[in-house]
Formats: sequence, C-alpha cells, structure tokens
Amino acid sequence: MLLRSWLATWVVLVAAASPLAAQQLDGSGKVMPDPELTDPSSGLTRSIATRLGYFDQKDSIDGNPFLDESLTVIEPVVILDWDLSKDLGYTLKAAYDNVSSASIDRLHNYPDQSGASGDYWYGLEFGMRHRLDDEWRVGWHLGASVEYDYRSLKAGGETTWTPTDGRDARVTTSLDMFLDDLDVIRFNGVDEGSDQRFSVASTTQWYQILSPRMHALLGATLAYQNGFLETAYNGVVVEDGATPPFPFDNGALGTEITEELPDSRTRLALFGRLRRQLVEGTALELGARFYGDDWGISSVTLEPRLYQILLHDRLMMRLRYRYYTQSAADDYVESLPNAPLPEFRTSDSELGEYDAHSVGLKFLWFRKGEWEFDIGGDYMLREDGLDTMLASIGWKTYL
Amino acid sequence: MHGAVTASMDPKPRRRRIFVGTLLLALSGACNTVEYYEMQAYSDPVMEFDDGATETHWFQKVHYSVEGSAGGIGTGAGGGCGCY
Repeated sequence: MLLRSWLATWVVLVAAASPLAAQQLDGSGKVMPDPELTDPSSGLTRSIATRLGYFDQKDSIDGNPFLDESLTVIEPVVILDWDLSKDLGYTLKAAYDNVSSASIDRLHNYPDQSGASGDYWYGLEFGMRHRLDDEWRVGWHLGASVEYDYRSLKAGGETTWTPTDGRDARVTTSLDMFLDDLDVIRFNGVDEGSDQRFSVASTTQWYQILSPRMHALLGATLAYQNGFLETAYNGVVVEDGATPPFPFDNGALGTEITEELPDSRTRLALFGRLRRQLVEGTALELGARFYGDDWGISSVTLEPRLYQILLHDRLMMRLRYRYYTQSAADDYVESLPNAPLPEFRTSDSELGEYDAHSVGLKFLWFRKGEWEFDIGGDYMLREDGLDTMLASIGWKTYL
Repeated sequence: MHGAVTASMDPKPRRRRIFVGTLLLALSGACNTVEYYEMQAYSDPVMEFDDGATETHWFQKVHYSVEGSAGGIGTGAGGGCGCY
C-alpha cells in the first residue's frame, strides 16, 4: 500500500513537471513547436531530473535512552530545468516525503492524539533566471510546502557575477526567506493552537579557478530565525519516580514535559571546497564547513572525496568520507531531575553532542549531453549510536 | 631577547602565519589568469563541481533532519519543513 502510494505520487510529480509546460499554445489549442527546441546548436540547457531517496535511522536504546528515535523517509523529487532563451530560464521542483517515525508511533499511545508530526511532506518550488548581460545574472524563486501540521512559504533571489576580464571567477549572493505556520500539537496530543516561524538567510559564494588543474569554492551563510523554534511534539523526561502512563524506552520512571527553546537563533557557517585533477580521469577534493550559533552549537565538517573515471566517457565513481562533530546546545539535557525546571530544555538528539563518520559510494553512468543515471549509498556511524543509512537513485535527461 | 625566544616557542603565532601564508597563496592564484588553452582539465567529468540539483536537495533534507547545524532545504535558514 505504502509502495503503491509513493509510486503513484512519483508518477504524478513527473507528469506535473512535463516539458509541455514550457511549450506554447496557439489559438487553436495545439501545441506549437518552439524553434529553439529543435536547434541542437542553441546551447540551451533543458533537462528533467528525478531522484528517489531512502533514509533509515535505527534506534534500539541509542541516542537519548529515554526515547525511540527511529526514522524512515522515502522521498521522490523531480526537477525540470528549462532555458526559454539564452537570457531566460526557469526551474520547477516538486518533492514528496513519506515518513515513518517513532515520534508518530508514540502519539498513538495517547487517546487524544491527532496523528500530527508530519508523516508526509509535499513541496513545490518555481524559479526564474535572467541573464542581464555577459557578466550579470539574477534569479528569483517562490516555494511552498505542506505537512499535516506545518505549512511553509519560501521566497528568495540571487545574483551571479561572472567577470569577463579573465579572472576565472564567479561570485553568487543569495537571500532566502521562509514564513512557516505550524500547529503546536504536543507529544501527548494536546493542541495548543498555531504559531509561526520566520527564517532569513544570506549566502555568498566565491568560485575560483586557481590553476589549470585546480578550482575552489569559498562561502559563508548568515541566518536568523525567530518565532516558535521548538519541535512541537518533542518532549523532555523528568525523572520523578512516579510511574508514567507509558514506560520510557529504558524503563525509567517519570513524566514527560514539553520542549522549550529560545524564540530566536542566529547562525553562521563558513564553508569551502578545493578540487584538483591528479591525472586525467582522477580528481581529489577536500571540503570543510565550520558552524556556530547562539544556542551554543558549534560544528566542524570535513569531507574528502575521490572522483575516478572507470570507463572513459561512460562510468564514474565517487568515494567520499564525511567527518562531522558538533557540540551540544546550551539547553540540551538527556533528562531532568524532579527539581525546579529550567525555562529552556530539549532532549532532541539533533541538538546534543556527537561525532559522526560517514562513508559513501556513488556510481554515475552518463552519456555527455544526453542522460545520466546514478546510484549511491552512504552509511553514517554516529558516536551516540543513531546510525543512519542513506541510498538514492537518480536519473537526468537532457531534452 | 628573552621575549623573542618566548615568542618563537609559542606555537600560536606560527600557526597563524602558516594559515595566513596558505590563504595568501591560495588567493594569489586568483590573480593569475589561466589561459583558455590550459583549461582542458575542466572538461574532464571528475572536475564537475555541481553535484546536481536533486542530490543537493536530498542531502540538504537529510542533514537538516539529523544535524543541529544544518540549514534547511535550499538554504542555510532552517525553514521549509518540520523535518521529523
């Protein structure tokens, strides 16, 4: 049943992103051929890409020992990228998530539960890009997404400067805003009405060719959020010795109270990638990201990658290792004693301290300018035991 | 003299000099033009920087779901989904 529902959704998403959307209708209602579509020398980018992703996080008694944090996500996504002319193009993205999580299962313990916490997610985004002259491009996009208890609107824009004086560089600056509206349905099913969350982020990226065999990207993102920033259904365990209505995963006695977090958050991330071609068909990349926010979380990500051609002009392999470490948020606790409760508290493992090591392998079959097919997977070993497996298959056709 | 010896034993200024030197070295590359005929390495598929829009979307979603420092979908803002 589940398989059938997401397959049907994928078919609908592919149909919705059909290239027919870019064609014109004349007065008779017939589809008129676009002369540039039939001109292979036009140099225009027209493609449709799809991906089916699978994410699985297992939790026996790991992560937070009081809570079951198992999670499975299946996501199909379709992206249509279409140049209408050399100065104008658009992108259409549609995605759907099917989610099975312990937080959803746990709600079934409570008679008044509503089933909220998002066992599906639909997202749609439309963007346009304009070439102003040889050096400047601008773009804008609008998006919306919806879950059972969460609705989000997105708007953003970007400028790209590609100097034509031989500096071999490209600088992109973007600004994105989200306005999210959510139903505050707690872990025990209590509905506290609705609330809002506002997010804004600006990213600047500088791409540079450094030598005939080496190029790099440096960037920074500054983001600010305010409003309701908790995860509504998250709870924190208070060990008071009383018997809970439903035992915690580790058999502890206590009650559960709501997660409370500050209503604003400022975040800064610096990131970079450096890639060098060692010999023809082999390249090595080193990527890094440094992050800090005013909730007390700091993190470092290091990601070396090896790219290797296995069959000339046909098959490529990407091997990557990803090291990730983060400190805990100031308000993170595994559980609370039965004492005066702090104003802010969370037991969300996402906000706890942990290290993670991921190894991923991807194979890409391709025919240049015609199609690409890839299949890959990653395994993430987390220090706190919440190991995660990722897999995805993707297909892209140039039209 | 004594002060100079102490300073040279402190690893922090040395590390800072190495970092600044490396940064200047990297940036100096930006001042040099790579001629068009020297760029054949960039037509090698292993030098393609873009992971592709669907894979980028997928990893942003996944990392946003499990990491406290991840941004959001298509941005570093952290919005766009309740995310499990």
